[in-house]
Amino acid sequence: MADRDDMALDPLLADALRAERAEVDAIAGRLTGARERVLEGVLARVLRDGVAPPAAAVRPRRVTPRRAAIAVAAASALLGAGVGFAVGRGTRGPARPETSTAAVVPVHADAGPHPQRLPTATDAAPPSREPAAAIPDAPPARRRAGSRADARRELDEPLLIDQARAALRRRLLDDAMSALREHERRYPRGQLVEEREVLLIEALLMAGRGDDARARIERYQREFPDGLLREHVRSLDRAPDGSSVPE
Amino acid sequence: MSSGGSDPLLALFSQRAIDFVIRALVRLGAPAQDLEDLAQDVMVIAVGRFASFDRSRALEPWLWGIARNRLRDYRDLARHRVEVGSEHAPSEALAAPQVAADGLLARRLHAALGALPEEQQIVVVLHDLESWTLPECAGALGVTVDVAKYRLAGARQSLRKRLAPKDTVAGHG
Repeated sequence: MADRDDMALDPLLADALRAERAEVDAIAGRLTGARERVLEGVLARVLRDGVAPPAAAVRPRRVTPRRAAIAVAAASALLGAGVGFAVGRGTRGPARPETSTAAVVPVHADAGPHPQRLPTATDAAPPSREPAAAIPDAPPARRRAGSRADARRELDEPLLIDQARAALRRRLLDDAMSALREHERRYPRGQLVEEREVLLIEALLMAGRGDDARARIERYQREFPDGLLREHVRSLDRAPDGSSVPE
Repeated sequence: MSSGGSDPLLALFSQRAIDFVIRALVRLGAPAQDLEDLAQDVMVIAVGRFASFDRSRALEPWLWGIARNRLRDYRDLARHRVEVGSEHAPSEALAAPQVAADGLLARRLHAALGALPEEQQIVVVLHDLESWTLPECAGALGVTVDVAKYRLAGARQSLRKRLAPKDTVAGHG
């Protein structure tokens, strides 16, 4: 089983992932009208004969008339909407087949998907309209006897941080703050406190709450003078408008 | 899971799915000049094979596999063309023009990603690059969260080793 060290992102890998996302978005963003051209091309080929691409080692099944009709309907709906090509957070997240009816409706890049999720502890948290400056103090999580409960705790802590990080990347600030509050409530002295604090700073910056973020940055620098994420926090401090928050 | 009465094939034509295919091809190292053609190929193959798609799963892992195979075939052909007539090596022919530092780092990551087993590749792509949560990844891949987490941890460990400067990697000549 993976241990916590394996799950932690070291700075080099974190930088590489950030650079990769920015680079891929930039490349895709330069392909103006690419989505429409791809759709048109697929549509033409499906209507023609559904043949395999020239270099494919395997031939796809022949496309039935029904599939072709569906392709026409879908492509027409998408092309007719005149959508721009925008690749970013707003277009990410699981694309479930069961959401297909809405799938042909253009999704604006800033709309942000809210993919289906398995229920988690944070789903029960009350929604908040904006991130709080400070996470309210909460009683420490109850100690439960037994290794099963301990194992569950071990697993849940990174999942909460993971959920907060994913929500931040999609700019779902309420979701991110809920996860961070839940983490602080359940793991006030957990193994991922440093990461929680950094995510909170990012959330505050993203919400335009520079003063609150600044206070949290100072607190982070006091509590984690040798923290693994201190360079990242410095970069956040240098750009208090949130422009350094990872995309 | 059912499709709720609508045809899941429609989901293939969503912006999200097409955008994912394009990003997948970039991540797999597709050359910019052939990106759209390759994306078309992937979509046509997906339409043709849709009957074999497990509709209880998310589309992305399936599309990733198709893109990966399509690009492998493309490279096989490109390599053949180079052998018979081009003066350019395949790596040069396939290299992206991006020269910025971020671009170089991204390409190093792509190279490291390409060396991972597919089951690790896809969880890194979905979780670390597409910002899915672990439960979402697990659901899409049809595995438990523990398994998804295990694969992600292994993948990150491998990526770290490949990204680290060579003189800091233990045992590296």
